[in-house]
Amino acid sequence: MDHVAIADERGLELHEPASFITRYIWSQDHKVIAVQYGITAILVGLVALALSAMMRLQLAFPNSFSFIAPGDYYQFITMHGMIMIVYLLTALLLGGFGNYLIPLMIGARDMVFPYLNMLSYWVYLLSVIVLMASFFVSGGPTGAGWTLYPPQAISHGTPGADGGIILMLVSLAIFIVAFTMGGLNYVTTILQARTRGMTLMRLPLSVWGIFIATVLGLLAFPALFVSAVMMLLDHIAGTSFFMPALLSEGELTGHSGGSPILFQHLFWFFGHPEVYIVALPAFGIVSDLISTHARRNIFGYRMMVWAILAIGVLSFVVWAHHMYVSGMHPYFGFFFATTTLIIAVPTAIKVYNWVLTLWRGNIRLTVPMLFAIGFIFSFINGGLTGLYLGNVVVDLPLSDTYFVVGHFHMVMGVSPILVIFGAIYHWFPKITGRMLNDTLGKVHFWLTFLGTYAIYLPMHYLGFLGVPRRYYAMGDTEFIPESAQSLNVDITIAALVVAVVQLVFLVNLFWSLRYGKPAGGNPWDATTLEWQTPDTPPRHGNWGQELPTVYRWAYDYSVPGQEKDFIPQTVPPTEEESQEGTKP
Amino acid sequence: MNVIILFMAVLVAIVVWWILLQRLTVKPWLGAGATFDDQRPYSRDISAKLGLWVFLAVITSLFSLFATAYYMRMHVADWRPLPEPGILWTNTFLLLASGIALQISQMTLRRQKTALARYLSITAWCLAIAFLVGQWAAWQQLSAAGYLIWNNPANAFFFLLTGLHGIHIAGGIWVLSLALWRYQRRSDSENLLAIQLCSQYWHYLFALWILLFWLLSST
Amino acid sequence: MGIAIVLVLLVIGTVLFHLFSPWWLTPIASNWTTIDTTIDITVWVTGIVFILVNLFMAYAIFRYRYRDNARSEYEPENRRLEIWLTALTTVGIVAMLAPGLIVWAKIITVPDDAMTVEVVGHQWQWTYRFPGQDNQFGTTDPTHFSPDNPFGMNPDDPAGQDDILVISNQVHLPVDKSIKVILRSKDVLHNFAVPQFRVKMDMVPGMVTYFWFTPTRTGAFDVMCQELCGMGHHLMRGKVVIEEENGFQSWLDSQSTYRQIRAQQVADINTGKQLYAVCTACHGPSGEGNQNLNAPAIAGLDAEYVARQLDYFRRGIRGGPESGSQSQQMAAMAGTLADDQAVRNVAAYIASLSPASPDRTLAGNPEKGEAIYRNCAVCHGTQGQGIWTTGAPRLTGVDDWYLAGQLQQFRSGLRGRHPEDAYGAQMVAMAAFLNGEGAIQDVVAYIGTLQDSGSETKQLARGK
Repeated sequence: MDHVAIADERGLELHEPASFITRYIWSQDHKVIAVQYGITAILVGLVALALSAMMRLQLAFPNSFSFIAPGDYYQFITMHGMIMIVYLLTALLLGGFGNYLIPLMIGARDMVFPYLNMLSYWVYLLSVIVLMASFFVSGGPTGAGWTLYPPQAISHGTPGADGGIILMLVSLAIFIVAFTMGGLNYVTTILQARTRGMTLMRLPLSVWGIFIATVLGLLAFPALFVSAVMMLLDHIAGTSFFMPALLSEGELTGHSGGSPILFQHLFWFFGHPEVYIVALPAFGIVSDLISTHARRNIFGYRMMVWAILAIGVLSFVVWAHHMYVSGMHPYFGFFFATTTLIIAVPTAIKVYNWVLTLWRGNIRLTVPMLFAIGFIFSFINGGLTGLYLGNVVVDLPLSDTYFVVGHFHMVMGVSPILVIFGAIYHWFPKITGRMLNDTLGKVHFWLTFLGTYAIYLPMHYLGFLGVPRRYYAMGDTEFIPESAQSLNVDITIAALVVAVVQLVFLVNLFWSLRYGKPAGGNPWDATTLEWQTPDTPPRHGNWGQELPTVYRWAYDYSVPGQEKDFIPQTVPPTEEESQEGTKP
Repeated sequence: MNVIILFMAVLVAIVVWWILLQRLTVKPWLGAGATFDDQRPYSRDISAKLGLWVFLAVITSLFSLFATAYYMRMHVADWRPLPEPGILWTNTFLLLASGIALQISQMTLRRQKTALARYLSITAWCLAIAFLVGQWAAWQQLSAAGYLIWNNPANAFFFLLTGLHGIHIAGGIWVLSLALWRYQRRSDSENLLAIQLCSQYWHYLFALWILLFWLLSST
Repeated sequence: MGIAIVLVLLVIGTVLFHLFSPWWLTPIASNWTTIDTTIDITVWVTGIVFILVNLFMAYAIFRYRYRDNARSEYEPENRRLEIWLTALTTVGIVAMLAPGLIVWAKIITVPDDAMTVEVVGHQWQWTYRFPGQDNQFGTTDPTHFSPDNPFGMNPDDPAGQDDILVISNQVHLPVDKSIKVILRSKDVLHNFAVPQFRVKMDMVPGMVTYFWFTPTRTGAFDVMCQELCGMGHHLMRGKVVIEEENGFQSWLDSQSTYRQIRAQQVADINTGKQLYAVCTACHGPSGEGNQNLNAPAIAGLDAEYVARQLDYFRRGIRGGPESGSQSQQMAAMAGTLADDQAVRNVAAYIASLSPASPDRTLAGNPEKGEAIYRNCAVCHGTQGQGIWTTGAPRLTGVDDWYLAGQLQQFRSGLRGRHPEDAYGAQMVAMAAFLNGEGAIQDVVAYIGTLQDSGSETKQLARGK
């Protein structure tokens, strides 16, 4: 098992793994593991994308496709949701970008525990395989909705209640093991393996976002693990943790006394931090994209760090805003509505600071910048609709309607995905040494950005109307007008366009890998460490013989009196800077 | 909810304390050039220990959540407490002895008594196995007495929590086995790190077991 | 540059969409106008923020677009500005939260004079219970659930004897009266939601939840389940009819109490056998059916199902003017049954006949049918044995040509369209995805392969 020691300074033999297998398959190099995570997550995400296209077809043209029966539809929504949230977004942002960026941005040679890191990927892959296997068992995958609420998830009337749900729960448990392995690495590496001069307050915000998100994940995923284990026992061993006395197929099941609401508490104790596990890395990454391409320091860096910390702490005391109509004690409504609206303040500050970073900047409208701006717009929209659902009385009419669907797709579907795309366009040159094609990138951006807005904005209005979510077909009602159905057709057309446009992105990836313009080491004139590596793509061990030394923060763009409009973190101070102070 | 809220409060206190130490209020754009030569150099040992601490925090979160679920479920009328098999006291003693053996092993290793330390670690390994066997025996006794996992939530929690704790012990045994397997090929300092980590993990799991034991018998 | 214009257009477009959207809150029918007011406040606050921040961003992108000779301004932070923005945001948050909390306090405080109604949900129907004369609900327990006691009433509780049980997905309620809705579920989570009332709450098995409201206008309103409850979630519909006090009282008086339901005579199979003589002409002496006369085999069908269908035929819910000629024929025959007791008797006799094992008359691919059937199995049972809680009849021992024909009728609108035929509406929705003759033949072929071995033991278990 060849790997280099992490932060040894000089005189070491950088023996790279020789064979193809140790280099690309059983690799312990964080960059290879990152790409492995990325490819797996994108592949499984394409499955989830295809599922969403099927759902949209059914909603627009109900009963036209005999291959989308009600059971199929509920299986599609469940698998789509779970894959997108856990196996795509969490895995790609933390396993993918976390792995790639942390060591490069903090000036380390690799993760602190490279072997564990490799194991993390393979266990993640196992969880994906177990999940995908549920498509092929009798009864198919579970159709319980991604929230997997018992008793429904494990009782007769739900598709996949025999095999699918077991595989889903097992897969989640495996995923959590994989995440914990990775998470231990990220936290320890950030705390221990920073290079000389890299104080916490000199870290790029990407690292901050990933760091806090990982801490949240380490503490929150156990809640999902607990609920998965207990539900498995209820299903397999006949215990009654969550299962009260109830009828199934016309007979009592033998359970008694269990509390379905207990599951919801546990689930959302994981589920709400999960929103920020996805959002915080996206916040961090987009801050760096905006700053770099606006050629301006990120506005209010300290406030941004504090906001990330505040959001991280608060995210553990807002979970029950998902449960206003669950039948929990009504007094909880006061507490959770208040905490939920409080968390809007640090979130709003982040939005202001992104916009204020653009103000008085010198904005290069590159493809990553377009995606970043698209993110700000989508996130403002999704964040504001969150204020509706967080306020308990407003949530009453809107919960479980299409408003919720529109809201969470804007805020934790579209927004992080736009950041991920922006980040791929931004770091692809570092990963591969070649630029992605600009024209294809712009086509991809415009159709994705406008298309997703066309999908989700109208959904909010269906929600106001009272159209319930998770309905296979609306059927006949007094209050849903005909026009809602034609709106559904329009939404589906937009959704199909967006789905197809992702092919442009894939083509771009493959094409540019081979024929893209050579990028050079620092195509965006960025300051952070990953752009200062001696080789592009960085070799094994990242830094050649000597680790970089950091002299300044990550956002020295357009410093007055300097010739260039950026000063990399590795550049020693100029005369006047040294005079101005050694006061850190 | 009390348990998890307490755990989270403690954790937040630690985080706040840590943040205060980190001087997160410095203005990083000032003071360019300072490279902080007093910065602690990278240490593999410290990283490994920190990694273990983070892992222990994850386990604490896991068991706090179980304990929370336990308290919430306990208040339903169908809860019927189960008797604690007497063997649990023996098991407690075994686990304690195992941890002590590892602790002494670590201390002897520090005085370079390599062989003695190895025997002590092997003793600890055997005692930990004995603990698992004892837990298994407790399960058997309960099952034989008709306390089956599906009969009552109290039983279910007993089997679930002891089982999960046992899995964590088994994981520790696996790591200790690897350490012993490689023992004679490794340097003293490498062995010391391995035994230190194991012993810290053992102490933690003993403390966890005491809490679980108390929790399970407090009803 | 382009993106700045697009952002402005998106803001304008969003505002226009909002202003001219025909899709907005349904006209309210309850006292909770304060909820709508809170929504309005939220729309204003968030709308202003949405417009201002996005327009500012668009302007910034336009104004500070890249120029070779330009330089960004180096300004790490601006404490005053940040504090101001934080304070302003906090004001906006308080403006939304404070009214919300005040309204919430009202929502969770039920007025003392509120009348109570209980909604009991199960996969995938609604039923209702009123407390009766004594204004007190009888106790219930899951162990009492049975086809004869779908509410799980405790038979020994005197408070429950006068409870009014509404075994229908429609309920009537009086206008302008505070109503506390008590919610209970027999199996999984459901959610009783009427969009026009604004309030809703989950129904959780093992516990009782509630909400309250005052209807403010008369009319019939859709009830929709809004918590995913399995494959039939979208079929779980009901109606709340709000009417004046008088109309409500006369409707309530026409419903049966638990005492009345229990007092019904036990079905008499011998009387049923005599009544069945009329049926033999078409359905055959042992209920074996006759395809030439379009009369299906009926031997051994569940008594509840047969009784329900005969009742539908008698009341014109099935076999009305818009249905097929065979159904109309059957309706005429059912009309000869004197009363409910006669219906129950003949149904009991039919149920007592040993099920036929009809011949296959249709070609179809049972393997393809199996994949389709799992959608049917949630109600009709994995072995086609029928499940009483879902109201779904046994499918084994039924002629394949009859099943195929009925599926066609559900699809074409000849059956299941009557507003009172709640189960029929579910079949209409389910049959809709069976596109083309092939799908129907396949699923019917699969049903033909099912062996309902458990049906007799199940009948015994139910105490028949």
